[in-house]
Amino acid sequence: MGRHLTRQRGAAGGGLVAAALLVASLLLASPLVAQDLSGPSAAAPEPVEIGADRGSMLWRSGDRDGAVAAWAAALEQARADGAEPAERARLAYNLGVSEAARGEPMRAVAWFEAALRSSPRMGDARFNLGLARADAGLGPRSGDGLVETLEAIARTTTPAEAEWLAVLAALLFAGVGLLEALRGGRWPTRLLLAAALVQPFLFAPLALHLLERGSEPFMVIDPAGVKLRAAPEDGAERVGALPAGSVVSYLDELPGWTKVRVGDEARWVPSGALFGLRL
Amino acid sequence: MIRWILINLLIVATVAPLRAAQTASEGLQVTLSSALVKFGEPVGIIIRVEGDRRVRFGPLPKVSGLSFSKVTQTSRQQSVNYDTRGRPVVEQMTTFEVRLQPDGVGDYSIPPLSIELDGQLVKAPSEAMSLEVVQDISASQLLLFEREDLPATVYEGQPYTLELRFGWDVTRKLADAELQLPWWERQEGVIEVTSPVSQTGTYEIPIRPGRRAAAIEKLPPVEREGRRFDVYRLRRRFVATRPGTVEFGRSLFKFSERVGRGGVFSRGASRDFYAPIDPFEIEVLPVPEEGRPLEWSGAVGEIEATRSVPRRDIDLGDAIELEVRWFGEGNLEFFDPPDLSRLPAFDQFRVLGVEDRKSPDERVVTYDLVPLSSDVDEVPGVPLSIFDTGLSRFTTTSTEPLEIRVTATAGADADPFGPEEAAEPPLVMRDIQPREASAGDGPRSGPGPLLGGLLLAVGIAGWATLRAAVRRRGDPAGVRARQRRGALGALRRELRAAGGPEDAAAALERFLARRSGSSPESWIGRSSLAEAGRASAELERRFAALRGELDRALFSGEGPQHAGSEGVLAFAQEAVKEGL
Repeated sequence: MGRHLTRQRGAAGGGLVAAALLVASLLLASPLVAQDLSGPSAAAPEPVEIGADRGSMLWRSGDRDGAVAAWAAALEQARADGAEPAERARLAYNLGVSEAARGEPMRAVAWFEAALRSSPRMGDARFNLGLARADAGLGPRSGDGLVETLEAIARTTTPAEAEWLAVLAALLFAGVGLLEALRGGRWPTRLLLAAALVQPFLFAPLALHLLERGSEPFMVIDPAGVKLRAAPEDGAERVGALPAGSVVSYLDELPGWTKVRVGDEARWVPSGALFGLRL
Repeated sequence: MIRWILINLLIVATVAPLRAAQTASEGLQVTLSSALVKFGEPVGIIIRVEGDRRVRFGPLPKVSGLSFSKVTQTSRQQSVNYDTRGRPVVEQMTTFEVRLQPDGVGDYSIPPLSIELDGQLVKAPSEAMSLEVVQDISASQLLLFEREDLPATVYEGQPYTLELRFGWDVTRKLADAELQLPWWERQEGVIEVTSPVSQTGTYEIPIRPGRRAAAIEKLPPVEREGRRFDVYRLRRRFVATRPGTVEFGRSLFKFSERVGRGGVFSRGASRDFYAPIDPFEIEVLPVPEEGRPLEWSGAVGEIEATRSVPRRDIDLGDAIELEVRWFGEGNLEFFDPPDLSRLPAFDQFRVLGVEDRKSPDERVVTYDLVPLSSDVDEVPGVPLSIFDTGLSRFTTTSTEPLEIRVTATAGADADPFGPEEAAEPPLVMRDIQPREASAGDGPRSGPGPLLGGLLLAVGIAGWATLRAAVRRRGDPAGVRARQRRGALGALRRELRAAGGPEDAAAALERFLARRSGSSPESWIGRSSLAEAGRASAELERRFAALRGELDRALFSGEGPQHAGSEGVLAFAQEAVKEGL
């Protein structure tokens, strides 16, 4: 009986604790929800997922500016956290959609381009990029030539995929080489030759990513293009120009000016005309 | 005593920096190329530095009315002399130049330049340099350089023609001539339109900066104050594309007169004269927003329009080529012609095509129009909204309507094009992606960029090594190697087809022949594997037992049809495993 009573008391105590927790969670939950909709607190950064979802909710509710602010903050946080490339690409994609809706096709082009560089097979970003480029008066993203086509194919892989592809290519060569070394004959030799011929194509994505690994790509988003200067000042010697949509590598910057690599030369352009593509 | 020491220290402290500066400025010479120049004549500051010294220039001084170019190194000379003992002494001289551009005649005082030599800052020369720029009086008599008056204000989009005339006394022999136009091709917001074609033949004259040649035309000689001048004209037509001020800096005409006879390899002496035109500017006014019609498409100027059609009597379904011609003083090349398909007056026409031809004198647009009904009896006037620069307001010029006759042919009373096809829906940008919508995008991390290359290198090396090792034992694709590899498979096939112990024995002999590279006959009756290479005692024993079993079956005629086949196959598998 005593044990029973004790158990009853214990159950009543657990109920009280549960009720207290429920009330407390309700009290805490309300401001939390409000805080979610109003923006991240200054003390702690908002998690990327919450920021992304909040942006989507604001977008659906018609608060476009709020959505853009939420996605931009989430992207910053995603960069800081080293979030998945697909997550960053999605945020960049959403920002591109918002820029297109605001009538800023060049900025939309840059966001979609950044999204594709982070997540190369993002079909929606590729589709919207084509439309945004057309709106901005730019031509197709890549040319029709063989080299451009191969480069476009190579760009459809992420760096990790490119590394795995290179490993597979090497294993393919090793396997066929083993067959040819042990058996010889016409077909193993032909297979080996074919395996050798496909190596450059299978290693090309890795080579492309390695070439671009250290560079910070920036896109010219001024619709009128930019003038290249020899020094970071308006009156400096003009040494060329870049049309809108050109992609250059970042080298250095000073207040208001960015030093970029154009071909083999270092040139200065106004920072406001450039858009960083690395997410 | 102490006082004496302090005085000496003070003297040393005062003199030492002076002495250091004096040492640093030794071998440095800063002079004007000429202290007195004619306006337009090139002049600059020449800086000569002796020895192999590190030279840096501070900010150049600012002098009102005088422009300084950047410092440029013009030459670097090195010579080797020998002193009295025969030792080589290397001497170096580096020369820099700062070109000066005076705005007009007058006296200019140029402060000393700040120059850092081997880390020490010096001012040179010790005193300010004086430059006197005088008017080229001879040039005013011998040269002619004038411009046609330009309007003080133009509207954006309104073309204006710049005309410069220059020439020289016909008694003077021309050695060289050039125009120095600092504003040439450097005015922002101004584009050149096609200039009127010269009827008198064209020449070319270099234009500074850059000395790019520009086409000019020769005019008839003119008389001025009793002198006769050969005259040329540079004429260009421009359009300002944005409001503001278009500035034309001071222009100069340089004429070099030949005063001496040149030889085969020399041009002979010459004397330069310079004639200026003072700076001037044009104010570009914006086209007003007030009163701007919605259909205005950028036409600015005083423009008129005419129209014509080659045929006015057509059948229903035929096209009329309506040619509209705009001409006059205006930006004929820069406005968009009216889109007739958007004009209600042309509802009874289908616009099949538009051909647009532009030239400096006229704009001709040909519309291919198809009347939609035989009731159409005229081509309406084609209106063009213009900002009239003479009236400073928007007007509309329109062509006269043109009477036509459209004859309905049999069965062609309806719209010759049939009902309008539904337009394709426009492409719409895809919507945002909420988080749940996208799946993962492949592996996030790879094996590293080096692994692929490393594996490939190892693969190539391994392949080459293995290949060489294998080839040392013979060609793996040769007949014998292939027979050896295929021996077991061939044995299986033969045993399946074997009719009795005799066939099994023959199959075994052929198997051993393939594996050992010998002939099958050499294995008939043999009960040792010595010829096939190294074999274990157990394999030797099994072979001897197998032969005995086969021989017994063969010679006694006993046993089943397939007697010995299983034993032969088991032996063969064991032999292959042992590497026989």
